[in-house]
Amino acid sequence: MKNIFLKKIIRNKKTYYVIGFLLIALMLLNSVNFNFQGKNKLLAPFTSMIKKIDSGQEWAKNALYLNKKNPEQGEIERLRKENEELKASLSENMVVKSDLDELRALKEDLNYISSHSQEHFISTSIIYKNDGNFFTTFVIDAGSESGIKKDSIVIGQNSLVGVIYEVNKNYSKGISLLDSQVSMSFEAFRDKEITGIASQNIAINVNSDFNGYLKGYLFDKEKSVFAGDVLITSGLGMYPGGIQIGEVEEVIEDKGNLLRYIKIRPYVNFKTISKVIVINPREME
Amino acid sequence: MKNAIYLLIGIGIIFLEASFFNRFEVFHISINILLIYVCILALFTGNDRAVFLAFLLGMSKDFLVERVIGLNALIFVLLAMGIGRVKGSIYKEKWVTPFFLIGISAFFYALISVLFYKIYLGISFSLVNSLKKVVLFMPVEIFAGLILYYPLKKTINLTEDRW
Repeated sequence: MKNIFLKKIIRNKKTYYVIGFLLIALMLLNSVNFNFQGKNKLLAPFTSMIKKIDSGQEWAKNALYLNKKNPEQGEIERLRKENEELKASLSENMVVKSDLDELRALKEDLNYISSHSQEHFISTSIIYKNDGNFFTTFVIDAGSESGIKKDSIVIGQNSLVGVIYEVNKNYSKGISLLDSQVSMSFEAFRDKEITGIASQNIAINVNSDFNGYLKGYLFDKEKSVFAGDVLITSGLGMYPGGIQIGEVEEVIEDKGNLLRYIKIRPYVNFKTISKVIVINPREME
Repeated sequence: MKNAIYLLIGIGIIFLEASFFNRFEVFHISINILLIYVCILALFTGNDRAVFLAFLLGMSKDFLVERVIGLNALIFVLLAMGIGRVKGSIYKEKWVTPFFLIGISAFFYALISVLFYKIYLGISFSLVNSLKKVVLFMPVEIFAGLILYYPLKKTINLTEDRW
């Protein structure tokens, strides 16, 4: 009797679907720590449902001790968080200090005109994103009504995320920095004199894998830049200074063109990002 | 009525994909559920209906999250037409057939997307690395197809019988 019942279960196709579904659900629950904060009216039922699932998942984890972290892991998490905070504050202080010197000099100049580009920034959420397999786009929960403009930059996870390419009344569409043809000037965090341009629209004639990396080149070939150097926006052009772009992964010499190219690893992770800040571009006219 | 039901299911899939499933990845690939849905629709509904729905769903996805309006619509329409043409000459009830068709469709979808973005973006798009993803995209879609095929087929068959 028992054997017949067991055979029935084994031969039933539904058993395999249930097992498959449970395995995938388990894999997703364990691998991703997602965060849904969207407040889009269209998605309100979905997001609230997902939030419930998310909180339920946390509850289940705590109850079953499935995801119990060991003390070392907790310490690593704490140090990582602290490191990120310190990096952010150091970056801010460095920019503030260097800007202060410039401002002191400018104060003496009566013709100084202040820039108001950074006065308006909008904090919002990424509500939708495409699969990002070949091209990464995302939709943010703020549009022209909130003051978003075309070509605004999107910042998240303490670094540059992308640019806005389409603005609607209540939402805007953005594109990853890795897929856009926008150029921005950068400077090295440790030495303001190391400057260059970062853009995907640079042809580099070397056999290096640039998938998931930004391309860039230095203005001054004599300046030394090393792997691990943090790059920030310099403030020249449309975008404000002091925003982290990423880290130098590799320096590539091009003797033919007498240029020094760099491969930049952006900090942002598109799979986990949910909260972003949008900064409008500086008016150039 | 059937069209409305299929369209609603498709739009539901688009919203779920854009807000939820695209945050996960398997081997650095996000699963495209809509592609699987269009393949199954093309297999189990009439050709005209499948092409019409593929176009509407592709456009909806393009308007919601994509950069280029019409690319998904174009690929889905081509896929629906292709599957519609071959389904008469294949034994679609054999379990391996739908997964084979999903695999081929995934390859076609990925290849067209990569070639299009290469032309569209020029040097800022890495062709070699994207072609590597094309190869990975196929097994991931087949894997997702294994899970989604029967529930979607059941839903489509139920809709066909009832309305």
